[in-house]
Amino acid sequence: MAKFVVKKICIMFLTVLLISFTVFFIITLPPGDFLTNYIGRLTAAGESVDPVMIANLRNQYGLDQPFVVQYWRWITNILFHGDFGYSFSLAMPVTTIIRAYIVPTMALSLATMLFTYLISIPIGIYSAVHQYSVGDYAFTTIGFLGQAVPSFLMAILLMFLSYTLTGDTMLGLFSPGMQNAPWSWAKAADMLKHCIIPVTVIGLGNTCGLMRTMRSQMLDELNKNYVMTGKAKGMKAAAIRYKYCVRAAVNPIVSSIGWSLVGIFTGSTVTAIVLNLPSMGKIMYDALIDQDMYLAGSWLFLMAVVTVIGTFLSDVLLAWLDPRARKEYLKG
Amino acid sequence: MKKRFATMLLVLLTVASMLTGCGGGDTPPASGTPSQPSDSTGTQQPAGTPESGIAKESPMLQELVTAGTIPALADRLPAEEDIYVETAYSPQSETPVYGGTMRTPNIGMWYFGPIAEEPLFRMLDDGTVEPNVAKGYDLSDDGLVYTIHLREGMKWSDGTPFTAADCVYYYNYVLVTDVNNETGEVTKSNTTKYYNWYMSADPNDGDKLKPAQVRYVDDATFTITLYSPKPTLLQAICIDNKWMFCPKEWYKDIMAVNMDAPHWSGETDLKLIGGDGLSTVTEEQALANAKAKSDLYTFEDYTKLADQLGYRYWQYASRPTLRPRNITNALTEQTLLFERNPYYWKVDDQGRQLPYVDRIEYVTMDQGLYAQEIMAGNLDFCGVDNALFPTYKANEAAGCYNIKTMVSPNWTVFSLQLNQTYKDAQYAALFAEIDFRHALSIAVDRDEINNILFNGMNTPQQAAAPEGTAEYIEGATTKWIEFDVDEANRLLDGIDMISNDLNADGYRTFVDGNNAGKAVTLEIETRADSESEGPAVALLAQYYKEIGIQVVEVSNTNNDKLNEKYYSGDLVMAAYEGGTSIFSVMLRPDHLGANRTNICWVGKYGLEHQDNITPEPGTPMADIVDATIDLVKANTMEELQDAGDRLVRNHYENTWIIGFLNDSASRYAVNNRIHNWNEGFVICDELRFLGYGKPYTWFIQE
Repeated sequence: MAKFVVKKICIMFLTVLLISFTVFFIITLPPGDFLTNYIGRLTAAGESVDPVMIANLRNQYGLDQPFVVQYWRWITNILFHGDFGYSFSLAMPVTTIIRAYIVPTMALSLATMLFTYLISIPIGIYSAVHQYSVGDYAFTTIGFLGQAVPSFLMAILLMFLSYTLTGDTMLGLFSPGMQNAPWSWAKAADMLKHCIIPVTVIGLGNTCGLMRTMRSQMLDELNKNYVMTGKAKGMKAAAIRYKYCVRAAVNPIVSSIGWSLVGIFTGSTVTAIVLNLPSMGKIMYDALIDQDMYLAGSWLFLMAVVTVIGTFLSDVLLAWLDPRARKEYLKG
Repeated sequence: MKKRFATMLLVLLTVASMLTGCGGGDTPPASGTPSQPSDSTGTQQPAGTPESGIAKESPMLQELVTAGTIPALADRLPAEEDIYVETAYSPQSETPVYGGTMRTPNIGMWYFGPIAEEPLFRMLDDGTVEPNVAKGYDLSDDGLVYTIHLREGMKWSDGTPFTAADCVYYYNYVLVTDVNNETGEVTKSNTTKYYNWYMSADPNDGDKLKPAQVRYVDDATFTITLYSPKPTLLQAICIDNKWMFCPKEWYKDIMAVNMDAPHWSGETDLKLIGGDGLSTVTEEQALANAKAKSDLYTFEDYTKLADQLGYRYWQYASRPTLRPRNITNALTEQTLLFERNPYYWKVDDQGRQLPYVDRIEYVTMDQGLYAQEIMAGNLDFCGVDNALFPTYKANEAAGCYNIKTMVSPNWTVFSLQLNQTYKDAQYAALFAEIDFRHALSIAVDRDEINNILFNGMNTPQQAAAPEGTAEYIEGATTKWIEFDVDEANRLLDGIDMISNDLNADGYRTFVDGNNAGKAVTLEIETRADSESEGPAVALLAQYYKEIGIQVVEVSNTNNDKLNEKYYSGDLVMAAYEGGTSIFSVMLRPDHLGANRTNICWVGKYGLEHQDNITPEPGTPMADIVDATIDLVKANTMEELQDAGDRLVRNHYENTWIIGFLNDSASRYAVNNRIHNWNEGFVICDELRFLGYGKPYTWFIQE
């Protein structure tokens, strides 16, 4: 197992480096750079632009250097100094921005993830065990609806519902006046109240997918011979279900945890805009539009890192959960 | 109730369609009759003896006084005879209530900055100025020396005294340093920084422009000395250098001044500013000192520090100001919180310290969310998107808000501008043909555009100053607005460089040259987040097909990229929502003159353009350039007026900017609990947008 983990970590490191190079290459692909955008913005605001000053800035930020030099400077600063660079548009270090947005983004995403798994796995099991029952049909219908309705539309509908019931659309993570108030039980309760819509909206799409996955996996497992053997040997049905079938059926869900991690760090961009959530997705979107290269690059890089880490965790979890997978990995 | 729900759903669904564009779009449209009379005076005594029992300051500050955190009100205000008494918008029949928090969307630093701006002198809507931070001024008989008087005992928001040294320091250490670090001399032949506030022509040195000299006299007095008279100096300061001061004591260890720079030689008296010496910190020390002042000052280098704290300072907490409220948290926060300045120096006519409202929250949100948030009572005021105006209007009562109508300085709701210096000489020559512009103007059915895109709320109009404004010329607004396709075709038939016959696709072609045989094609740049530009160009494409002109829309999702095209001068033409904003052409000729770099029709004729080119002498465009230069160099009001008139008349005769409809109005939705909101004034940069309505006089009463 240790050999497997070490091997995986080495591959991860190389993958991350390769991705970082690709990311940096892609964000420098569009013509121009942040400073040309910046010139445009200054002139649009009616301010004068001195070409000499722009040339000096370009030199100062290394934007006149070859791509490889710019990349080397960026990646070595990250690796050796933890410095992700400077956001031109927000005029502050990228680490400051990440620090400001990472907590609400992760809190929201983790809550959503918890919601997703706590809802989808039990329902998937119930639907499989009670196949073609009224409950199964009801959950299946909700599942299909959840998958079919775009999340931003669902957000709008829930906002409307909230407005009709409470007179408030529940935008953002806090009520007016609570945002800048010191932390208290009232503020925490207010945040939880405001989390209901985003967690439901962001979670629902995933929940429905996972619910269907869990159901079909469970159905597969329930029809396998080992279940019949267990029954024949007098094992309790519940024990077979929860000790063996669920453990096997949950494999695809565990192996997709890695992808969920990316979602945790980015939040759902469109839903975040609709619900005015302070998530990193919106910042990332603006950075890409603005060609704010270090902010955009750093965020893409972080996403790549968490994807790789997520994949690694999935592999380790799977190896731990499923002896067959463990055996395969060790052999490989 | 059902209707209200249905409307809310409609608004919410509209959000979805708007979010596909996900833009900032913050340009309010408008028109009407200008003017919101302002009769405030800067130097009055508080009127009468205040009635006992009426609180003279916010309870929030009273608590701080009781706790010993800040001095008593009398010790925080300027000397009694120098207190600014605000009479313009004081309510007649109600006593304003202290306290509360207003919420409005955060649409950027140029929204929450001007709204709270306190300039040295304040621009009025008739083009004159009134004292604001300054108490008054005297002008010498030769028109060269302005003596500015300040208010004694006035204090920065951290309680340190505000004196003439703060103004002199700002000019000599921050501003002149920047100006003099520019390359080369400022002359007619080197137009960099040509349009500049403190520049005046040196009569002994040809046309060379020199910056003014600003000198300390005493704590309440300083002088500005020019080389030749500049009749609009105070207006120029109002428009382009509102905050001609900075807290010297706070700045001196974060501003690195190069003592060896040539402009300091022989200026030894500068070292005596306010009895203090020059700062000698290095750039590294300045960065470290700034960091020590606040954890929020995480500037990467000194250039950023100087730019952000020296110029865009209102975004940074703990920087002392003279504003009614200051930011208290980091720019990264979703909600920016501005809290009252305990040392604010204005009072109402009952001697009560302003502002009334303790806090303003600026909430970052997409523009598509404003309608639902104002209806839900979560916003106190916001701009009204014209497309949603009927919805806003229909829900005024249910949403407990009012629509306030303001005046727009725009000459037209959207315009078409042809780049006169486009790199393809054949197109540039075609754009210079007045008959071509005439044809493009009359080939358009303005009534149809009005009905389809603007709910019929506007009226057909050429790009020209509306009646009632200083620049109005009779007949200018109705010039070339009659829809006449036959006449447009006849005009185009008379242009030799393009064919009278249409090609297989139905377009006219170039007769010869590098585009011979190719269809005459107009690539019109638009902004994807503009409500009107894209749809308008789609309609224009249909109209111009009728006269054999092909239209291709180039939609820009990134406005900075579009601005970059303006800057490079490489774009063919642009549909421009608003964009022809004229408050006073002689004070700021940007959209009619040839000084700026980002005006489509001027292109590289813009004097500040890095690739500036000179138009052929004797052409109408040469007159535009000459009039622009004459504006800068004018020594008398008559000269200024003359140069401004030449610009306006030139536009009337040549129609460089093709307009289609008037700009109906700028509108704001304001929650009914906000009192003292003033409407009807011009929303423009020169008057500092909503800041002209003196938001420090607003108060909240449920």
